[in-house]
Amino acid sequence: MTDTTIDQFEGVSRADRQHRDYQLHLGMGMFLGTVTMLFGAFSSAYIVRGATSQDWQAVPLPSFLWWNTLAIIVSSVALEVARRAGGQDNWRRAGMWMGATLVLAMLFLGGQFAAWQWLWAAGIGVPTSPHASFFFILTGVHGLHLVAGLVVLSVAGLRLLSVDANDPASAHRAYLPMSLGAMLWHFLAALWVYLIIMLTLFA
Amino acid sequence: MSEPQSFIRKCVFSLDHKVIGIQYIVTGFVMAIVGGLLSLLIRLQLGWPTTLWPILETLMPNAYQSGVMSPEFYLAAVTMHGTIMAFFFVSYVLVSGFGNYLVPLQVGAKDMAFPLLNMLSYWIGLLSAIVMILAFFVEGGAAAAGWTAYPPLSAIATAVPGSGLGQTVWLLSMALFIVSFTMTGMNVVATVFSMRAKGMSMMRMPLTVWSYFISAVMGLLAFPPLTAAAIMLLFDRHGGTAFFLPAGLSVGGQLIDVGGGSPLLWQHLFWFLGHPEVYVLILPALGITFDILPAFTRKPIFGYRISVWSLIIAGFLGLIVWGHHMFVSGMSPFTGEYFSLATLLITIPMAIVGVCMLGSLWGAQLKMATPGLFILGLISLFGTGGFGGLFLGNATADIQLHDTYFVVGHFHLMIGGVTVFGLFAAVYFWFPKMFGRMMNEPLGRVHFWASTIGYYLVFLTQHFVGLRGAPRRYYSFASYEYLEGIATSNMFISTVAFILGAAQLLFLFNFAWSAFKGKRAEANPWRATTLEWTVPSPPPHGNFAEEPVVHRWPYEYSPDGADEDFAGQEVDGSTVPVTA
Repeated sequence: MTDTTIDQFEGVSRADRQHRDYQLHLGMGMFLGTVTMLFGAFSSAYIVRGATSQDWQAVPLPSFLWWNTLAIIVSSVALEVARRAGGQDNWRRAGMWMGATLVLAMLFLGGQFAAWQWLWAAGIGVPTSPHASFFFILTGVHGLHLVAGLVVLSVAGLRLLSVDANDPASAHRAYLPMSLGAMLWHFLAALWVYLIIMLTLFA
Repeated sequence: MSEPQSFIRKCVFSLDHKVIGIQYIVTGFVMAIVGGLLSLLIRLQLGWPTTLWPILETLMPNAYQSGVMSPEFYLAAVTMHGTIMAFFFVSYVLVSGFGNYLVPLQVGAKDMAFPLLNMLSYWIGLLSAIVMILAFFVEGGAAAAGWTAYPPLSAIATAVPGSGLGQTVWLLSMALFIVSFTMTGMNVVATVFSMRAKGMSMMRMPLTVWSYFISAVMGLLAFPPLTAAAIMLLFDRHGGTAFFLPAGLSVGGQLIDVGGGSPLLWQHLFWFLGHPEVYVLILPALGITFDILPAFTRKPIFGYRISVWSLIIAGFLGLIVWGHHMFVSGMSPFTGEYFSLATLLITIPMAIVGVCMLGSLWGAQLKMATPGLFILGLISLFGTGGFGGLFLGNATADIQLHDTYFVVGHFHLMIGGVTVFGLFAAVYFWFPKMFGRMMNEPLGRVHFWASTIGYYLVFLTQHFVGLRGAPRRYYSFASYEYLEGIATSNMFISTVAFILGAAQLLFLFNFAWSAFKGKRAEANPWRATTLEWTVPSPPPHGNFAEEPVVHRWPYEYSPDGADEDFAGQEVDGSTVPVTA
């Protein structure tokens, strides 16, 4: 009995809080399921559009996209380090690695935009070729999801700054968005690896 | 959980699943009036194609120039009737509305898992409905490419007047609808997974909850792809791309200079949503049937477990048969054969469900009231409509029948009949729970008989019109010699359609009147077993004064050893033996 009340804060028992956290992760999981279906539809369109037409022309893509890819993979790893540190109550370490995550995440988003500019400078726009259309739309829709992820991670980052080691409520407030954000961010990083492979190797 | 006191937080921006459910239901019925009026305009045109309507010209000068409906408006009316009825009437009332209202109550939860998301879902849904209606008032009028929005008609702004801004608005509204519906779906799944009362194992859930659960999972999987398709179509319309525009296309004598895309790609993506949508709508109607029926047969339903599994299997198969809408698209006969076989496979679980419904009726001493009558009507339509499906699921027969009134008749019996009868039954059945008052029984019976006879006369006749080769979506049949014979049928269908429409006024009146003046309802007027009947009518904020504990399955009717002829799920085994 004491087990469930020992960590009671803000009037919520540990069991209730864990249940709530479970629900939120379940919700995030379902959301990621819908994103999977969304990109599944884009992928099948990509395959069909490529296979049924004569006008498909692969456009050149900037090679620094691979650096972007590296950035998002490393950001994902950094976030995982931060999350685990948070899980072990090592909030300083968590904050540091979260900072690294946010920097790398913004680097990636900036890099994606740079890729668009690189294409525009080369005279390649959305309607230039189906391959270009897909590149812009896929990076755009992926980017919108990243922005949502960035918001969640920024909330986590801000809350990490004010974690008081003696106050479990403040720790939980910081850990929850970090954990949910990690689910989203790892997913989006993996999605990007899939997308870049599709867009370059199957151009 | 404290109850908000202000009117705004309590009735407008409410987080309470019951208020949100009722908001959805009322919104859905308002949309049904719009969609219903459109169908009457369509029937007016088809029944009396040469008559002049000066009064309609006064009301809608653009649509009725010199008293005759313009063909462009006819196309827009058909498109918007289908869109509104499927997405904004049945989806809102039956799925989002009753789903919201019933799922937390029936699993014994105080609310949905994500109340804020739920409120957001309703307001985005309302916005989506308003945007869809606004399409009538933009330049060129509402979308006219059919509820399926096939390109190139939907992709080229100059194709028909409705292909202009109206189509863009249509796509935006659909995107909002998908967002809203996805939020509700996530809530239903999370609530079923994480909010069930103690003792409420999955296999003790009422079939209503099961059907909403399956329908929500299907919606989550099937709806996002249309978002992708809508984004691509918007780019085709406004961004100069050619995802769906074929090469060498000429519109009005003008060669379109982009091309190389595949209109069929849209059809695949659309029907990947479109077909599961049918199941998203019809499964709750079937689930509700199993919960309303025993209240009137006073005996346990037949085949609970096999019905659960049949609904799951039907739901799964429903996700992989979208191609049967495209048999005449020039698809490879091998692909067509696959889609045919998969479609006909669905008849197995669906027939099992139908047999279980009949088995539930077998040997019962029926004491009927309006909800039970509508359920009997539903079972009947499910059978009749299902037989039509056997013809259409077979590619060989479908090639003859495709895009004829046979299809129109078929889907109005199924997605337009089973679902609508299901939602009427649900309204009559749960109205006392929602408003604490009973609906008027004699009015309900008249509504039932007029609806049933009306549905059969209108939509069964349409099957035969279709067998004679009348194509759907045609503005007028006057210039086709081989269709001269259907003029009388069309006049007959239209006349009955107007009577059917008038009968719905009885329902609307009954609903509005009973909400204020109806006979007071007790907590459990139907002497039913599920958890919502254990709380007062209407249930208080937070639903259950203390967390309910479930001891049995929801179909314990006429058990041994009980004082009454039913035992609710909350009754423990010491008084009435637990059978499941």
